[in-house]
Amino acid sequence: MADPSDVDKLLENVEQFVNDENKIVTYEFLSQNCGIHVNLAKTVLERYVEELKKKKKDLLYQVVYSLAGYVGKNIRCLLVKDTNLKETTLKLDKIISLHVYSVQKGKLDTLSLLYNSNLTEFKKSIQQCCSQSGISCPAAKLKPHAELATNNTTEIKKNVEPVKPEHAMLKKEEESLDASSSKSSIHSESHLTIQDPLKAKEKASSKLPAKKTVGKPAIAAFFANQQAIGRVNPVKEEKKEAVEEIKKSVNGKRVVREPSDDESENKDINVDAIKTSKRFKLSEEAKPVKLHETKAKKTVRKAKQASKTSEKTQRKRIQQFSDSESSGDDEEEQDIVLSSPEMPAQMPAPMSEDEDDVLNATVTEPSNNPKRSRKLVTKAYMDKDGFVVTKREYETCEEKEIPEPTPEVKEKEKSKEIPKTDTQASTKHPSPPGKTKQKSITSFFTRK
Amino acid sequence: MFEARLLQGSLLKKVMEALKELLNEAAWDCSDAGIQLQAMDNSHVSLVSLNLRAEGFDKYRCDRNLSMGMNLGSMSKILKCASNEDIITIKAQDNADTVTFVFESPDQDKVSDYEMKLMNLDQEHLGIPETDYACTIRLPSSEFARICRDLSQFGESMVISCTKEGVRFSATGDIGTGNIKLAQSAKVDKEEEAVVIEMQEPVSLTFACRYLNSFTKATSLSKSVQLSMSPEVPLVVEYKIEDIGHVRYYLAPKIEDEEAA
Repeated sequence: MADPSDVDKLLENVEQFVNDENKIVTYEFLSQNCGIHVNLAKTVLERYVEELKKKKKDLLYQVVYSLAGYVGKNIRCLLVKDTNLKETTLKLDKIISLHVYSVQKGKLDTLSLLYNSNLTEFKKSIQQCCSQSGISCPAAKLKPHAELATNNTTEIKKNVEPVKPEHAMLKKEEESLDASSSKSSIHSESHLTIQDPLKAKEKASSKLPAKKTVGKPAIAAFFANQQAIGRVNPVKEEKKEAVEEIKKSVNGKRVVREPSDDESENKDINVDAIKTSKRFKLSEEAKPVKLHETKAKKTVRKAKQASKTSEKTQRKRIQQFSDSESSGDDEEEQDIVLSSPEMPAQMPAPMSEDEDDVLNATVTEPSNNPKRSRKLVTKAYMDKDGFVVTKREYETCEEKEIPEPTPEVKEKEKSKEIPKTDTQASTKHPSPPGKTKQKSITSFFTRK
Repeated sequence: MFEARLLQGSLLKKVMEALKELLNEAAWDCSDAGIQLQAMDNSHVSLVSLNLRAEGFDKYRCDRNLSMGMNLGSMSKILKCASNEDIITIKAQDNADTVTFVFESPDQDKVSDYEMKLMNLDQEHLGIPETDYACTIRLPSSEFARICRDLSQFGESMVISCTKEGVRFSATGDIGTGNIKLAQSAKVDKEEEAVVIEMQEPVSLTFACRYLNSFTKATSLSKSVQLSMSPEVPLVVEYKIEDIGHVRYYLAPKIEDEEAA
């Protein structure tokens, strides 16, 4: 347990964050910002709320509680405003955990705003964002890029379902739902139900590939299943871990996870892994989001290939953070709603990583001059005040790359290729054993 | 003035089908003897020679020798407007730059005419010497078409070997070898169904399948086809057009490369 003087200092910090900076202070935010363990952050927030109550100032503040409990056999993890706390606790048969999730000045319109409060801290370092976490995930493995890329696209396609507008008030799960706990379904505050972990897992796994195999002939179903298993495996593993973590958190046993060297070394891979889980969680999101992501991913790949080749020639590497102010807003909002409290910490980083690449990829060519052209380049950087600024500006650059051929040129090329194949075929199928030469008819008949 | 009336209009349609795959444009030489056409394909590997005698037409008038350069694609489009039963008349003025096709229905209640622009074609004519071929094979045209089609799947070249036993068509390629052997028919009811071989000496020549396949477009013109071969001489594939003339295809053989040998 922390030193009482430390706690007092932390309380002062919280006071500062809440009152002076008007921030939404979640325990994650506090943990990240002050470099304290999440449990200590929770305690500090608890103390802070108690003090507020003593001073009878609590009405001026909005406190959100994280509440977990059983409804029948199902576990429910809820984020509940202090005003609804009593009602909600009555609905639960058995309460497993209850602690302060966040404190803020004024009223909280939507719970999705809570995500933003954590975001800045998460952005700072992907490695550190889980350093204070109460959950360790030893089974989490770094996946190669290619594997993730293939898995992501297929899984998202399968899981995307439209989000109902009335479900805007979505809740996060308890700490147990880290980024890998992709099974977490998204519900409104009042309807949110997480089934028993094992059941949930079964349900999730049956949802993914089984749908397609239904009605197929036996052998086809077998192969389809195998393919689907191959694709879904990484997610399944994540789910398993999530389930285990739920159990752990329920029993109050928590293992502090320390970031390994591998993690830092394979930042990119890690980032993608997180992205996978994030996407999985976004399964209920509308299609446009998915499209946006997949497009981004494509451009990312292209850009990465390009960047590999021209790594030396690059003048500078612009460290980017999510362009939360710009086009990414919608996406982020959805992320906020859907993200779990622990692992979302890693989310912003992948976005920034992506954007870094996207930055190179989102280049539009207004002019057709292949040698020197002005390109519209999107740049995102952090300014002195710590805000992420996204700029779109024209840059003049010389291109050595051959411009992408127009459809007409492509057609021409195709037509050129066709005779080539003919000649190839001709070399392929020499009927007679010896080499024969086609004579011209004019060599036999004289011109009149 | 040139005018040629053909009662069996479908014949001209078939002729067109037989030509248009090999030739894009050709000059139709009209004389008082009839209509002749001679043209090489673009690659100058094969030669087409068409002869439609004046006697074969219902009405034939050619005041002055005339060479009408026509785009066969356009001509084919026009002839497609004619029914098979239609009577087709080809008309052209002397030194005119157009030709008119008139299609009359058998009962004369529908008459349509199409005018087509002529082209100035500077096509060279080849002198084809009279040749006494070492082998002459007559076989059903449909059979020949089938053979060419089947063997072209194996390779791009086909070897036609004519011996005493019969004629053998063979092709070799990646997938294997195909051999089709036709023996001379001993007894056939219909003459056009017979395989008749006249041989002075055995001949074996290699030809490109794609041209042979193009030649077989003339299958509908005649029930039988005649192949004439001599060593190191173009193959002649002749389809006789009943009562009016013939279409002959000449195909240069593939000769073993001396350098390779």
